[in-house]
Amino acid sequence: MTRGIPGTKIIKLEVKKEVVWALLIGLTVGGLIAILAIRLPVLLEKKSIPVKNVKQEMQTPTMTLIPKNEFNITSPIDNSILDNKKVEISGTSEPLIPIVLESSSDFNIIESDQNGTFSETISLEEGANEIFITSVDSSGNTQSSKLLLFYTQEKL
Amino acid sequence: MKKIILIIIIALTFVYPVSAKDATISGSISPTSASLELIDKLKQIEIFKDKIATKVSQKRDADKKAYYGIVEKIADNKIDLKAADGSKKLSFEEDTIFYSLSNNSKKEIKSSALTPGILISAFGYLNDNKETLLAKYIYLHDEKPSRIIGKIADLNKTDFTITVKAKEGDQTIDIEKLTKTSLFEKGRALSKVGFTRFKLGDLAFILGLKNEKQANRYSAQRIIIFEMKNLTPTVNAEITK
Repeated sequence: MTRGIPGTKIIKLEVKKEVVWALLIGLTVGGLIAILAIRLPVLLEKKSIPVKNVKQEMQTPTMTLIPKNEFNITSPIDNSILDNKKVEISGTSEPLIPIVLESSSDFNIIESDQNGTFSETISLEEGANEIFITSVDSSGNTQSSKLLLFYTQEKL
Repeated sequence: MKKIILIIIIALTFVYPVSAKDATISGSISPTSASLELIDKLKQIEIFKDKIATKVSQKRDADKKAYYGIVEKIADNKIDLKAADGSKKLSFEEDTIFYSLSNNSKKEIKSSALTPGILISAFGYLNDNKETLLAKYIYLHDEKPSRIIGKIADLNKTDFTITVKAKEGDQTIDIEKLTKTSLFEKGRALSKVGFTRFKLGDLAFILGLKNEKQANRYSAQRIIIFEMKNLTPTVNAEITK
């Protein structure tokens, strides 16, 4: 005999097997449709990848060979207007050779590295600054580049 | 059987709408999505404003210019300038500031100091047709020294002069009391040296002022000597001004 709380009635619910199965089937089918609705746009996007892009991805990268002994100033560009008294001059030359950087007020001598690159700062004066960058090879041959750089403390 | 079909339909009705709502952006406008759309629009406006500001700044930077050269002519606040890369035109206004750069000092001066033959650099913006620089600042420079590179071909220890084989021919260099001389030896630090260390065949980097009385003669301000024992006779010497 089942005992309940005094003053309360116990109601027994009888659910038929068919009803339970119907509920299960309904929930499962509904769930599947819902999942399909979520996934469908993603699946469609995946299928629509253009063939051209795939081809582009498969292309092998091209390599640009830089001549080893080319004397070149990479930064800054000629006629630059600068607001900093010090400027870093960068470039390429033959590896491990002296590079002379000259302005009318300052000069520096550095050596290019094993890859032939160099970088050094030089001081500027207000107004126009002609900067001469010269490489000197082991035979004493020189190659020069000239940069005209403008520096002002004033706000333009 | 009717009951079962009814239950299936009810179950489908409950499950599908709940899941489908998560999958797609609902067409119905809820307060949350409306505010999100507003935020998105505001963000887009901000991005658009930034883009405009960048474009304006880029355009202004592109018009920012500086010229350097010798004044050829001045008339009605307009200057014709002879620059290394051709003639330039610039103009100045009442608010243009003029500076004199002499003996390492900067001094504000009047526009009347500007005369033909003076070396100047001017900073400003190009006008609309990009032909004239509207100068904001004009600097009056002293004469700039010349730069000479070449192999030492002769040493005169009495007159304290050296002759350098430059690209443009032999150049006579006067060594003054104030001339700063340095020696570069590979693998060593740059050292200050006297005239006695100069040797025939050394490579010299010279900065000097032109002698007004004698052509191909300079008064040296600075000399850097490259001591290289294996110098070939054909050095690519040059002179640049």
